[in-house]
Amino acid sequence: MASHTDILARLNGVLPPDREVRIADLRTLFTQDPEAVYQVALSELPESSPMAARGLQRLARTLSVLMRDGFAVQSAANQNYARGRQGGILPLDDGQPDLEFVQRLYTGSDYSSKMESQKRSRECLDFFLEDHAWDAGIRGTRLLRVAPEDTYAILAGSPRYQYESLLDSAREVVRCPSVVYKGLRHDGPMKTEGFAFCGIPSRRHMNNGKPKVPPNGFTFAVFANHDGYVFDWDWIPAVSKESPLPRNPDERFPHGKQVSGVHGELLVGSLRLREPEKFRPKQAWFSREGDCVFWYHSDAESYADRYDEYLTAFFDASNLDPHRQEKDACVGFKLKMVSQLVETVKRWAKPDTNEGIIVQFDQDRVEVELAFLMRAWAEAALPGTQELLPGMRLMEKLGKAGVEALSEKTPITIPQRSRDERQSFQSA
Amino acid sequence: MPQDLPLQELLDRLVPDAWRNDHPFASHFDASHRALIESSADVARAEVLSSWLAKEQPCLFGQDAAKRQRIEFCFLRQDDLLRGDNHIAGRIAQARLRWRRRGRKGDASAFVISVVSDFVAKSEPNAALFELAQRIVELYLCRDVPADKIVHDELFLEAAECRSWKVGVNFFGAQGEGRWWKDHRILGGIAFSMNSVGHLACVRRLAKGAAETEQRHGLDAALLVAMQLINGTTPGVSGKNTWLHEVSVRPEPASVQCPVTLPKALAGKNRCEYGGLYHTDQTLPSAYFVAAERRPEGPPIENLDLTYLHNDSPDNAEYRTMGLGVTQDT
Repeated sequence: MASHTDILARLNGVLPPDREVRIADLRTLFTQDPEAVYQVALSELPESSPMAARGLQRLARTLSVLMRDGFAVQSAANQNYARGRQGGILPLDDGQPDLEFVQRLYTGSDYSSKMESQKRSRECLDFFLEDHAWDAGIRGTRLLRVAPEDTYAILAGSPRYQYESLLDSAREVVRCPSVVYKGLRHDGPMKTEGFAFCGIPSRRHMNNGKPKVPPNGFTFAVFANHDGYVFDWDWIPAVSKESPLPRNPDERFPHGKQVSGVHGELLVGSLRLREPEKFRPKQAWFSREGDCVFWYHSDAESYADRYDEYLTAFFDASNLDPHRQEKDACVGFKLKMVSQLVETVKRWAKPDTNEGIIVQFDQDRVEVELAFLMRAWAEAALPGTQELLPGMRLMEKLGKAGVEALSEKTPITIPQRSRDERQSFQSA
Repeated sequence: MPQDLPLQELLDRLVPDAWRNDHPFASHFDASHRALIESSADVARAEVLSSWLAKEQPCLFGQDAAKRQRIEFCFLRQDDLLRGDNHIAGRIAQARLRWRRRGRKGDASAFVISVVSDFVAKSEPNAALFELAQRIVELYLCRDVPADKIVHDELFLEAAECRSWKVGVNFFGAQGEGRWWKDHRILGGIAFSMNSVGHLACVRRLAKGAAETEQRHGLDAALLVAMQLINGTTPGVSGKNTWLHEVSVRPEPASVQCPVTLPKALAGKNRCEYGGLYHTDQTLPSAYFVAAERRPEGPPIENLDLTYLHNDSPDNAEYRTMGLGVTQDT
């Protein structure tokens, strides 16, 4: 068996410099060096290996499991994937060429000439025929996707770097997370469910399309709810330089626990259907799957800093010098547990007294005048109960510019039916 | 892979074979068929089917594999079919893995997926039966399998050198009993048979302790067996299903130098091509899925291939991939 340094050297030529690894890269490797595909699956790569290499290994191992268990081609989030008969997810991002590659490996029936015949070795036979310690982990891979409503929000005016990060960094991190927490919120369905996948991906994406190296002292977190919908992904402060562990996990996940052996494959076919639109500032986006609202008044690349169980603020990350003196500017926020907040405000709202609160909330449509909602907390003489305190803190956090921006009319609107919305951007 | 209809619905669409009312299974076939249907465990089913294949299977390689217990079986009962695609695919994948693991050690060269159901066995060969057969083979191979196409699986062998072979996948059905395609009849219902002659020849050579250079001689012997088999098929209701060409009528290509000297009984026969009423390598021949007793009108196929057993040339990959086996230094 080749050493891991030898294998990493052989992978170097196929690891893409600007995107996450895909089956297309395994195909390239197989064409150039089929033995390397078997060996990367069977070898042990150290945790310190580049995430792209570990991602390729994960794909190769999934392939190996599918070769033994059989698979079916299924579709979700507007893309095909191969699902192993006992589990295991292999996204077929490039469609037919990926499928043909997997099928050709399964039956070995594509020798167009003897010169193209594939070599056979013990590693090859082990790849196709033998059980491995990692099989169960591959079979337990979770299928992750982005809900149509959130896809719409991402394509219709969220910051561009968030779109790029989702397609690349988020996919890398859920495939090979360094640490995973289960249980995201202090209450509700995600109190003990939902996952936060954390790790340091290969790149940090910028609005200008030129990736940078990951920032020191930060880790990338991808949040998925209990149904496998990814609804948020951010750089967040890490415990130390180059550590993939988030700072203060006990506060962040008060009811959660660190879990091992959890991996996902994030399907992003819907997001590739069209180019994202220009950034729309001061637009609030409601994520039903995350039960949260995102709001940005600037598309400056940011990191997320959790304030409390209701609020996470996004700060300008253009200057991440660890010795900086000035406080980073807040460019937006994520308001969590929105359904609970809305219920709270509804209890206090008294339209007859003209307090300026307009709240309508039903199953298919959310219309909340966010400015009114937040100003209600901060200004409308409602009692400063614990339930309303987060809103007030938010005002402090946003600063004057943020509050002024928020004071403009910023409705939270979501499509009435996600299917309609999906059709609208499919046809686009 | 179209999976629009559940397997249960595909079963529901089968209709009784009215022709069978007047043409019951021959008594010896029926006795074995009943024994297979009434077997309560896979071990017993394997014994019954192996025993029948060892005597009645026209293919001598299949007979040999059955006699030596070199066949891995995957039995699917009607109850299994009713449990749906995933269950069937899982059972087949498990059995396929057993076969391939045995193949790695040289213990098995053949794999048979057998649907054991009297209902299926006595259903009319028609479009509905085709769809059922197609679904099963697609669940097995994880790919589309159109009618009249040749598809393969792959088998490995680990010895001093590791090898792999393409293995043909062929349909068999109880409906063939008494019909023109009787050479592809089988007990129980319908089945798919995979048998690697190249793997078998290699295992035999290794068992004798013969050198790798002897590998091709095993294939030479296999060529003679194959030619005897083709020549010796007994005529069915539409005549002989396969036949050898006379070189005087259909010469061997000048570019092919076959090293095999034919015995007296086969003297003057073409060692490269033979003829047939059906294509012996196609996985799902559409001609089988017709209720007629006799073969539909149409020309025979005259260019069925034998060169995979002897012609080692760069433009004949089949010799390596199906005959000799693909090795590290191929």
